[in-house]
Amino acid sequence: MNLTISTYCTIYNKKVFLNGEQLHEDLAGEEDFLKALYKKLEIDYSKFYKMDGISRLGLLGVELLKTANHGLLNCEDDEVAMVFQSENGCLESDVNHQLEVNKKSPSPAVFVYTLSNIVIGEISIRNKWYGESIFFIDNFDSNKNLLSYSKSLLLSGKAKKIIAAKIEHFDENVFLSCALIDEEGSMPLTDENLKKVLNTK
Amino acid sequence: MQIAICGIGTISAIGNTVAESLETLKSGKSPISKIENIRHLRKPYLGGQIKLSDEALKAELGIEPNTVFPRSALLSAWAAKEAWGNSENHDEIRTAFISATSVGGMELSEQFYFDYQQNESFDLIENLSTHDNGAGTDLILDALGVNASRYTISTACSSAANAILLGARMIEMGIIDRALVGGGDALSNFTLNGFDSLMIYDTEWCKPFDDTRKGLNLGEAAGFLRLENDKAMKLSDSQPLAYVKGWANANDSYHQTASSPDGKGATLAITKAIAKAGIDADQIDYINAHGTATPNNDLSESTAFKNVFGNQIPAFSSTKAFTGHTLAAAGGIEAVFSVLAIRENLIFPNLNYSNAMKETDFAPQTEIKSQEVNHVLSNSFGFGGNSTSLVFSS
Amino acid sequence: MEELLEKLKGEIIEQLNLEDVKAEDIGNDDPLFGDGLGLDSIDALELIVLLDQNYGIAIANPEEGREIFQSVQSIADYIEANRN
Repeated sequence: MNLTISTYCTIYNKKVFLNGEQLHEDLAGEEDFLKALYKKLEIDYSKFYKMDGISRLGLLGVELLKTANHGLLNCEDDEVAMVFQSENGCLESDVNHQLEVNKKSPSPAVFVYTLSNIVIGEISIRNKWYGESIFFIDNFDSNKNLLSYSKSLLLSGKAKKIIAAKIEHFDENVFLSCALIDEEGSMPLTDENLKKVLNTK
Repeated sequence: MQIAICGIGTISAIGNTVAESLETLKSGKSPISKIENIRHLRKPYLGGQIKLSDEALKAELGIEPNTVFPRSALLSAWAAKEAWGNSENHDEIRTAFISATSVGGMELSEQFYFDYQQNESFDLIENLSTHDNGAGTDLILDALGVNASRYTISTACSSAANAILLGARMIEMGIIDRALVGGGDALSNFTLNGFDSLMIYDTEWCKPFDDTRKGLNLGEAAGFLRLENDKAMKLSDSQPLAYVKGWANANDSYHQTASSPDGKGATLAITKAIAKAGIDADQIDYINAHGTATPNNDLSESTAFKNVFGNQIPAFSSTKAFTGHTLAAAGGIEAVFSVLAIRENLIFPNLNYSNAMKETDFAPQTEIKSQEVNHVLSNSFGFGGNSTSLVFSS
Repeated sequence: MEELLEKLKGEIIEQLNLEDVKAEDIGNDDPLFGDGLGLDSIDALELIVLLDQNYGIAIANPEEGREIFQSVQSIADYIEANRN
């Protein structure tokens, strides 16, 4: 089996890179960058506005992967798996829920986002994907989770395509890097390539 | 390749050890009661609480009293220690420690936050150092003195089940020889208030699969398994208690918190886990259900049972009326209960059940029952649609 | 009543983050769930919070919400009937 990184995307500092090429540079001055990017990508999915930051970020990253890789659109519904990793997870929603607790009635809509893996749920719902997923908490530099889990899913035939992602959305720290791993690309799936694609800030 | 379960450990409201837990499960008496000794509770809640204080847990585990150590991690260290047993670090046994939590250091963080808010006190600022879920994993390994590569998983209420899944898969693929896998979550204002805001916190004892069920009671717990391959068993002279035969994870892809009416994610997970185990659905002797007692989960899970088993639904029960819903720990403690079901040839009762659900024509096992148990299906379904099923076999 | 209906529409849009929806898009009798505005179970819980925080009306059983939250009109009727 010839595993490759076939498409990759990074969003940070109000910049978007798809397969290493910068896109949508005109959005750099937008105050609400993710909302502006959502509009720019002409996604008609009003649930976006209800999501917390990390879910919005993850959803947009996958939308970008889809624009560059139509193979993602033509998968059976349980062939796409998601392997995510974060340092802070859903910390932003945690803080917001904690603020709600002081009110008479805490907001249920805030609480539902206080689990790190909800971003994966939102992407699954949006794309009607029923495949396997997991969310690791680990240091930014570490790629062992993403690499070994993605490999094991593909080699054991549990998935045809993996979206491996590192994601942070807390205060100023907004960062997403994601890679589509399958057999279709030209960049071999190695430690070094994964580092190049996912660890560049 | 067999993946043997050579050690089990658990702590929850029903007992501080595996032996105590088995006694309570046999007694049919739920210890769920009014939650005490948590500061700043908004209202009285019923829950499954462990009577040991943090201080007592630390003393038993040999942890310095002043160490900042979240309760979730203390519970995990406790259960992992029991599962680890007399095992030793060994250069030739590649070992992984896979720990799951969703509460993480939240219960310490919120104590700092309350103090700060009330009198701008920074006394507990160090509490924040363990807020992130990964911090606990390092603390636990240090406390146990186990040498292992470490992984931290956070996928809501299926977290510990996914830790077991990952450990089993890594052993199967030959990446490791031994894995200490499971999860722990403590009670916190954060989760109590949160589930209450979703209006699925029952003010009475929770009633899994009952038509009048109103919601869950939370609980705190940790549950761990020690998984080994043949090589590890030989080198460490371990004996198998049971085996992990099947595992699968799928996404329900329906709603952030609600399960789908057609039970799609659950159906996929159960079907694939049984297929992976290499058995037929009718060979399952007992299902330890997710069974949170929320109206939504129990209906969706029942629909999945029908989808997979048709009219031949195996004996099933939710043990959450004993322990409360222990969130990220649930898949860990229920794996331990599944092993006990196999070892003891027992089916544990589903407490507080009296009215059949109007949507189904089957009922859970309500009395403890002795019968041969060879294959147990254990379900853990989490918010975010994350659905995991495991098959344990004799 | 007209004033309450308009106020409610604004509050619903804000509380439920319905960014693409304007108050004039919501008919008094339009269904809020299902095919209408497409609200879900969490939105229903948010509406319970809204009634509690803005109107001091507590709904203890989420099942009651089904009837009350059919449309903006039915919410307004409920508020009128239960406000002291």
